[in-house]
Amino acid sequence: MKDFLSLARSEARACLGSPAFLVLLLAVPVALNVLFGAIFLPARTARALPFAVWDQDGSRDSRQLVRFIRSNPAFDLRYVLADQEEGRKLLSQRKIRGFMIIPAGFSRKIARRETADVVVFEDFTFLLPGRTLMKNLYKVESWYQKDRLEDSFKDRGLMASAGEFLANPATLNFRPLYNPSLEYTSFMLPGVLLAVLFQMMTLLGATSCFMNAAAYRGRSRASFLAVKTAVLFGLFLIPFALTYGAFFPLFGLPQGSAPAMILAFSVFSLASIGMGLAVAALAGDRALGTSLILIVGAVGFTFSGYTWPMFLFPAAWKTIAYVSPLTPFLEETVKIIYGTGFPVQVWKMAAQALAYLGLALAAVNIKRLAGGRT
Amino acid sequence: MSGARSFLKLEIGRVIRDKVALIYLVIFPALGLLAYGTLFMNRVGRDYPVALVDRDADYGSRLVGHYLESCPELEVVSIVRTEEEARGEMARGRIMAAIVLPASLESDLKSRRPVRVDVLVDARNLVNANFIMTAMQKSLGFGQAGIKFLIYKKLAPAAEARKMVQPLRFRSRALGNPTVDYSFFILTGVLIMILQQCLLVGSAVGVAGEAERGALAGTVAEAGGALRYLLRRQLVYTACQGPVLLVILGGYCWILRMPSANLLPLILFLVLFLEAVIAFSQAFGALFRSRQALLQSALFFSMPAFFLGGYTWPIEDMSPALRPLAAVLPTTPILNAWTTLTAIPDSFRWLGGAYLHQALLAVLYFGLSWMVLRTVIRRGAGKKASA
Repeated sequence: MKDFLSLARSEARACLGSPAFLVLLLAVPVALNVLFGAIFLPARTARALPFAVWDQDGSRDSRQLVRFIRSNPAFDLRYVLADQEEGRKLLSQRKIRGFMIIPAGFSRKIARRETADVVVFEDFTFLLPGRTLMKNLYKVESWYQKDRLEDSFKDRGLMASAGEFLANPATLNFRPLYNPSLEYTSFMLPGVLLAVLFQMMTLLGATSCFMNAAAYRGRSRASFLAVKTAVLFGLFLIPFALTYGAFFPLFGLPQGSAPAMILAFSVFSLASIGMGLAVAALAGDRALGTSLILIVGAVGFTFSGYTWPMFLFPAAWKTIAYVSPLTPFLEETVKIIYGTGFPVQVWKMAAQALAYLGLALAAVNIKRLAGGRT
Repeated sequence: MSGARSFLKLEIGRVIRDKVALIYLVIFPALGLLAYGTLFMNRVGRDYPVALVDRDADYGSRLVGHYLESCPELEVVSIVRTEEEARGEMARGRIMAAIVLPASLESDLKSRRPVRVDVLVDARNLVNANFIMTAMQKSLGFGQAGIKFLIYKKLAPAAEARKMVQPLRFRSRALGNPTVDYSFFILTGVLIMILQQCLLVGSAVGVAGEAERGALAGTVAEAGGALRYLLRRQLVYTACQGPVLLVILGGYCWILRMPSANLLPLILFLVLFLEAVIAFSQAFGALFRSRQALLQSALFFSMPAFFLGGYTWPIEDMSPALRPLAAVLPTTPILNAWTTLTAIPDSFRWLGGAYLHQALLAVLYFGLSWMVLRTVIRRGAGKKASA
């Protein structure tokens, strides 16, 4: 035990004495939290998307429609077009995210109670702006429908109660669970911030494999691994506390049950440390080890199924995705932080932690690491 | 001239012999294309599992089930009796949404009482939630309009009833991506980031590796100064990476079957992008004295660059202070231009500003790399002299 503690002290000193280690442990997570906060916080849902209109009708009704569009926070009506070509040009240059053509005869159709068509070009090369515009145009459509129906029922002398039923005989009421205001920030930011922690932990796990190795000469591989894992585990609680404990509430992100999150993070942290150590031990070379971690870290987020659902992955990728500890961790995290009450399963991460630490145990060659082969 | 040629030969040989550089410049881009290509091969979200909470079990509820089944994005995997059962299915991860039909759906409609159909959507993942809600709106919204039409037909002639239901119709033209293909959108962005990251690391490790060996000053002097050294390296990496980019582009267009409008203008853009990233990587590489430190830093570059480029989240919704930072990233112009160039025919005519932006970044980073390299060498020489 004494030996373990003295080794742990020496390991902690080596880690904290390395400026590069400290930068990666503290400065990088803090800087990236601030950066991602500045990206996703000014607007939590897509809004004020630049929009243009070509009003060929120039009537009172068409101007009313333009006013409707202008009053919707999703649109920022920036340009009045003179032709379609100009709209396509502005859209290609990303100066606008969509434009609308109100055809001549629009007001005539409205007056005659006919269906008035309005053509809308939306930028669907980037999906989010296109989707946001389309969703908000539906709202304008339904307002017109309600207005038209009210007039029609009044003309037919229908009672108010009957009109109410006729206007909305069947309503589709969407109840988005766990993220009721459909905030993009609440969806994306937690995943991104936790992915940064994953990158940092695997990278430092791999780096630490080559640090202070001389201190372990004559010691067993098990003690090498146990000390490094314990020290790193303790140190990684600091960036986790900063991210989850400070930045999550600061950014207004859901946190859920803190004990459950700490438990999940602890197992995830062990799995990430194990992965870093195992990769470095297998590579036996700092640059190669870091290169491999670089790839795992870069693809980990996309392959975690956080954005694209896992059930749509080809069968082989579903298995491969679980090589990364980030995959089960994000799966469980979204159960915890949104307070779903769904059962949290940490066994996948625990199995990963055991597998990676076992692999590292088998692959570590203290003599070679202490030899400082770089 | 022969000196330059021998330098080029030497450098190309060095790139080929350097395992890390080779892995980054050739193997990872190709693997990335295949891996991500297969990952997103379904292209759009399909068969999202949903449950039907059928408390009515009558003609109307079966019709709703039929409407849902007819929508390719949705798959009714279970029919349950209560909302609690549906929530239980959601907790087990078996469904992503549930449609709760009221107990007296048909009788309410017949007796002219408004009915409300609740749709519970697991909105933790907005990509899924958006696919599901759009599909529900399409399938059930169609039925909703049908109910209205049936009722109004009793009040007015059919043609007039249709106009009552739809006074205003937005005819949507999804410009550039008419099928709202998720894989086109995400794969393009991911591919650009892979190319950037691989090129950045593959090229920068060479400079950092020379600094690590203490050979940088010698190599620069051998090349005839910092400017010549950088120009030659720029040429070497363009020669090595140009064909790789063309193969990747070919794979993107023909194997992954992505749109390929404006192919030649896109190749020109790719060349400018290549030059900007090589120049950036030379400046980046010259900042490090070890390959290890460079690789560690590179890990934290791609994700912020991707989000800052405004690809997934509109740039106009970010903090205005970030816009200058986004503008100087070598990936921002291409992230914003690629999908337009490949998907909108003749759009290259309007993208002069984007070409200029990418070219200016190449020049800016080349100048920066020259300054950084000269400073690094001067400092190294100063240290040597003082030692």
